[in-house]
Amino acid sequence: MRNLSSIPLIAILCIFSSVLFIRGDYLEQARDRLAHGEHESAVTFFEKHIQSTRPSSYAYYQLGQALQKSEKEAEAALAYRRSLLLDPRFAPAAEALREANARLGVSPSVSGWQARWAEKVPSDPTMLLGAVVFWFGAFLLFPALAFSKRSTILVFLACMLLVVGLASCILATCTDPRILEARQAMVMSLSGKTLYKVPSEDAFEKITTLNQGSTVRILSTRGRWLYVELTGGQRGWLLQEDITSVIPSA
Amino acid sequence: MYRLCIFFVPAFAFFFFGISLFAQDATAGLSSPATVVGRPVQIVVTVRDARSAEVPQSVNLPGLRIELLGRSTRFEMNNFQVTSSLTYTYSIFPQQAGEFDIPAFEVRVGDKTLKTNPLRLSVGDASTVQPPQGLPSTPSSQTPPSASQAPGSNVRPYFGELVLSKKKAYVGEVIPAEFRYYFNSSIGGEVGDRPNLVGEGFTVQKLANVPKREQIVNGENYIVFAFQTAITPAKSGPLEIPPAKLEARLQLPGSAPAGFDDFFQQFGGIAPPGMFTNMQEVSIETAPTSLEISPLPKPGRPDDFSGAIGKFKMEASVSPKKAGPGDPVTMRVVISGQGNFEAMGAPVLVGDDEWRSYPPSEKFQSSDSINYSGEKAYEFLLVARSDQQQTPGVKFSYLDPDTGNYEILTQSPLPVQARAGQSPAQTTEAVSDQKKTGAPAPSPVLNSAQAGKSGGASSWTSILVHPAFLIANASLGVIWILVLLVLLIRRQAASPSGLRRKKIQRLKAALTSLESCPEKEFTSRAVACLLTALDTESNPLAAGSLVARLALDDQTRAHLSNLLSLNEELKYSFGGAKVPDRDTRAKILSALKKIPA
Repeated sequence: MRNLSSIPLIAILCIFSSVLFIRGDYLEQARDRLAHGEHESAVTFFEKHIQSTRPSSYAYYQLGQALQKSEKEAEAALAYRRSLLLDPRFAPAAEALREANARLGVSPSVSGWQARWAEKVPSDPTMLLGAVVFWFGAFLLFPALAFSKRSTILVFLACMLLVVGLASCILATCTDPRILEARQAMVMSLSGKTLYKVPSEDAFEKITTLNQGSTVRILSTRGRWLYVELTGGQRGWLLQEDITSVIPSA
Repeated sequence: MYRLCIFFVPAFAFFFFGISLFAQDATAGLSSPATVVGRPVQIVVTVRDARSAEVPQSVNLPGLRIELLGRSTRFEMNNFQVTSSLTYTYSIFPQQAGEFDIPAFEVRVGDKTLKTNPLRLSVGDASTVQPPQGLPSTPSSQTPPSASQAPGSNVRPYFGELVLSKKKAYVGEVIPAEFRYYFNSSIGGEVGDRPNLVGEGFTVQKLANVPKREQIVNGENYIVFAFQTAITPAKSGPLEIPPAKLEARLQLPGSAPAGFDDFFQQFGGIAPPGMFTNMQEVSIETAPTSLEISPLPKPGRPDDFSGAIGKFKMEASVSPKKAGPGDPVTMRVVISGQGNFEAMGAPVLVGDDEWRSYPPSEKFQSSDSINYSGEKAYEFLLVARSDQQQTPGVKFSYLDPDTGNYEILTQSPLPVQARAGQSPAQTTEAVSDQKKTGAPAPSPVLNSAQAGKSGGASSWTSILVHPAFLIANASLGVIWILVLLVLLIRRQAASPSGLRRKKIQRLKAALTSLESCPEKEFTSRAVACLLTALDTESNPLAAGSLVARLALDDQTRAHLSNLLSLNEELKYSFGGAKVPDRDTRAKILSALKKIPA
């Protein structure tokens, strides 16, 4: 009976170790193929690795490298952009994205203060630190209320911590690229996409043509049509075919 | 005969009195919206539903001589609705070139004063006729087809024409065109939204409506519905613009019903013209027009020819004037004029080796309805490879269709202070150098130091919406609230009001227990109650003086003093104090209850 009860435990351990092995195997295989110039195959293994594990900036960067070598510029730009979404401080990905955009003929977007802040300060640790400081300040209020002596100093200190913690959390939220670019999408069509004034393929209502690799912000959806905003603020309609969301859908 | 009389008496009554039932109004129209110095045009002022009116004999306007030529009266009868209108024709003799706003004419009809609509007339120099919007303004060579030209009758109720700004053009050149549909002002009806034009070898811009106007053609007043567009030839050789059809439902003169002619013949005449009309669906067509399209000339064509055909000007600006290391500057180049804006390419940067440039964004702002005139702005993002004091130059080439020559517009470099930064170009150059030297390409796999820097997030969602983060914060929030509640309760209990409430509760409990306590314990318990009520448990001797100061009646005070006496007796007598009888206990109890809390 003792032997029978240990079987499920052994099975779980086997499955767990095999999952870990497969994950590591995909990455190793991808790197190996890339080093040997088998770019298409490397792309496949990088994609498998990304699907089987938590997203990582580095993995997307490597995928972008493999796609670029496979002459898939738009897909590479998308991978670099995803890499930067996960880690805006990852300079090699930023450089590679600029290069890919230049090759695609897409103007680099002028970065706002949020992007510049995110390039310097990671948002998740800022959020965590802000939350810790906030709660420390909140709990510091209790001794300030309980003790009449020196309560003013304590209340002041607690309030300062509360404000600093809250400000950190708000700042982290405002500068998190995953929140800021949650509705960003990229034009993947080789021939670009036509932006219209109205949701109709009327040549007279054409505003402009967006190059492959251009990014737009999706404002709303109507059937097959997306109402989008360009980087310059111009708005219009385009068909959702060959438009890929920068943040991959679950 | 009797029946006919019954029918026609009201009809004639309506004929004679119905004239006054329609609203009076006055309108004015130009025979042509544009002319040249020395070439007269006409203004027709129409006053509806009036038999006589007073109009100005002449209008003084600097640069224009406007004089009344004559008047005519028109009666119209459509299905028993009779309208009359007076038409006054003025001659305008332009004396100088310019844009003229002709003010509204004041027309007095009886005791009423009506005003016509104001008009605008473009007068060009006689030597250089420049029609507005690139369109001819019905010059003598392109006068609308006269009524006599129309087959079948001398006065046509309607006809159409296509007015093109030129008959010879280049492939890709934008040719402004206007489809005009003339309707005799005596007929009514409905006109379709826009004409239908289908053909091969050219593209047509979206048709733009022009406000309808009145125009005199061969002495007849016509309402003109016009649609502006631009035609772009797609191939060289002869090009046929097919007829453009406009659908309309018109009230056209019709024949009288059977029996009516006999009736009028009894009175020695025939039915008045226009008395009977029929609603008819008609399709008005413009005449087919031929164009001669030439290919773009090869001699003198610049290598970087933008494809622009027309007449253009170029302006450029740069912002910001100072850029930090690696920061981009924006060079804005505006091409303005008339031509094929939608098909033209961007200007070319010259001497941009030390700049990193990207394909420009473009924005077209049209100043007319057919996208023929306007300005197109190109914005180049430039990043300096090395420190720079001036921008690259700009070159733009186009074909002037009037001369057939290619023209090149140049913009010299603009002053700017841009500093070079750590641009990716340096990386690219390094890679290309490596390629040139045959060195192995760097592995895309980063070294451990670089990889370590790329920690980053491991989720597509912010930690803000992560369940663990939310649960932890919610738990801390609940704990914080609970601690706060405990603290507040304790603080409230220690406050004067809390203590007072506590005392009252204790007193109530003591009084309740006093009512049922053993007789021997009554005195001591009652005194304890009294001391509690007086807040002097620690100093029982002060109880007497406190009782004396209480705001109570004498009898109650006496009972309480009696209680204190009994207590002293109980304390200090050897034989023990006597137990108070029931009546005394009741009085003491009543007195204790009266002590204010």
